[in-house]
Amino acid sequence: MKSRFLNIALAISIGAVILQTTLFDRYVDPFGVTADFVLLVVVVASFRLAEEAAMVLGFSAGLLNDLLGNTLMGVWALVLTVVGYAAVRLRPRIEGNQLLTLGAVFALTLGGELLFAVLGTLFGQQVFSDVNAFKKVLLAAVYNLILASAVVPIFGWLMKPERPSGVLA
Amino acid sequence: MLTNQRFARSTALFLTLVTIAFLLMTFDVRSERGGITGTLRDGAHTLFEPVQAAVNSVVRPIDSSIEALINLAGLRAENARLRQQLDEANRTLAETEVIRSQNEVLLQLSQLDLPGDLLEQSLVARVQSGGSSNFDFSLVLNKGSADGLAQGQPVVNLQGLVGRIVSVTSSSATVKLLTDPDHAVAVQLALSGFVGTASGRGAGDLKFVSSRADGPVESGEVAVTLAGRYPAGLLVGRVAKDAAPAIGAGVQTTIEPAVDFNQLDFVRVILFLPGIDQTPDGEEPAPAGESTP
Repeated sequence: MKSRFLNIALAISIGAVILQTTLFDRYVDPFGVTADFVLLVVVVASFRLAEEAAMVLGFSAGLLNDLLGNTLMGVWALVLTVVGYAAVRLRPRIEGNQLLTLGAVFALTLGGELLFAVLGTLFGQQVFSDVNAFKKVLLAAVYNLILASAVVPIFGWLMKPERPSGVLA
Repeated sequence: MLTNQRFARSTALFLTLVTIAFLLMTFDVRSERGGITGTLRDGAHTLFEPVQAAVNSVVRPIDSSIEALINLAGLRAENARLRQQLDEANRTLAETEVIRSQNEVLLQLSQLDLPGDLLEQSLVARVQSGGSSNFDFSLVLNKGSADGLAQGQPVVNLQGLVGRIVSVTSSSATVKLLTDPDHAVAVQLALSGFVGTASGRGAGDLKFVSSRADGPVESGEVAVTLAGRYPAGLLVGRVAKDAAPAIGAGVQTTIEPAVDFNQLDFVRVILFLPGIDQTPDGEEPAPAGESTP
C-alpha cells in the first residue's frame, strides 16, 4: 500500500512536469502567467501521503522540474520538499474541510513560489529583478486555487484509503 | 514513543533532502551548469524530449481547435441552423490556416534578411517546450548538437532576436530569452549611434543603459546588436520612451523587444561562434529584420 500510493503520486508528478513544460507554459498562460501545476500536484498528493513519502515526492518532482527547465538544479527540489513537508504538517488542521483545503493550497503555492524567488535570488538567478515577480507569484497561487477544485477530488479518488480514515502511505 | 521515533525519522529525512538540494545548487553554481549537473540535465532532456514532442503534437491541434471555436461564438447566435456545419468548417479552416501560416513562416524564415552571409550559416528549428515555471525564461528547440547547434548561438525569428542557446543535447537545445533578467545584450541605436546594454526584466520592455550617450534618445529608434556575443545588426527592438542624458550617468530608457515571446513557434538558429565577427568588413550594423515582416 505504501509504495503503491507513492508510485501513483510519482507517476502523476512526472506527468505534471511534462504538462508544465508543454501545455501550461506554451498554451495556458492567462495574463502571461501559468499555474504551478507541479507544485499543486505535490501539495494535493502530500495531503494524502505520510511525511516521508510526501518529502520524497516533493524532492523527486522538484528535481525533475529542475532538470527539464532552465533553473538552478536543486532549487525546485528544495522548495517542493519543504512544501510537501508543510502540507503534511497542515493536514490535521484542514482534514475534511474543503474550504480550508483550498486555502491551504493557495497559501502553500504562495509560500512555495516566494521561497523559490528568495532561493533563486540568493543563488544569483535574479528572480526579484523580474518586474512582474509579485504578480506572477500571486496569479500562480490563484490559478492553483482554481485548479485545486478539480485536482483535489481526482486525487481523492485515485488515492482512496481502504481503511475508513487516516494516512495512506 | 513510536510517534517520537517517526517524527525524528521524518525530520532526519527532511534535513537530508534539504542538504542534498543545497549541495546540488552549490555544485550547479560552481560548475556553471556544466559538469555532472549539466550532463544530468542533458540526459533528462534527451530522455523526455520524445514525450514532450508527443504531448505537444496532441496539445497543439487541440489549442488551435479551441481558438477556432472561441472565434465562432459570435456567429453561433446568428446562424443557429448552420452551427454544426460552421463548427466543422471552421475547425477545418483553422487547422488549414495553422498549416498555411506555418508554411508561410517557414518560407519567410528561409528568406530572412540577415546581415552578411548569416542566412547560409543558419537553420530552422521548432519550439518544443517552454520553461518550467514563471521565472524560467527559456525554450527548448527540437534540434541539437547533431544538427550543428552549439552553446552561445543566437536565435532569431521573423521579428528579430529571440535569445541565445545556453545548452544543447544531441537532439534539443535550450534557448535563454532576451527577457531573462540574467540576460544582457550589447546594442547600438541605429539613428543616434549610441552604444549600451539591453537587459531583460522578466517581462515587457528591456532596460537600456548607455553610460557613454551624451545626447537625447527618441522613442521609436531601432536598436540592433553589436558584434561580440551576437553577430552585428540583428534587430533587438525599438526605444519605447524618450530619454535625456543625466550628468555622469548617460542615458537610461527602455526598449520594446521586436519579438512577441508568446507567439514563438518556428525560429532560425544562426550557427555563429560568439566572439568572431562574421559580418562582412565595413558593413554598417543595419537594422536586420526591419525589412522583414
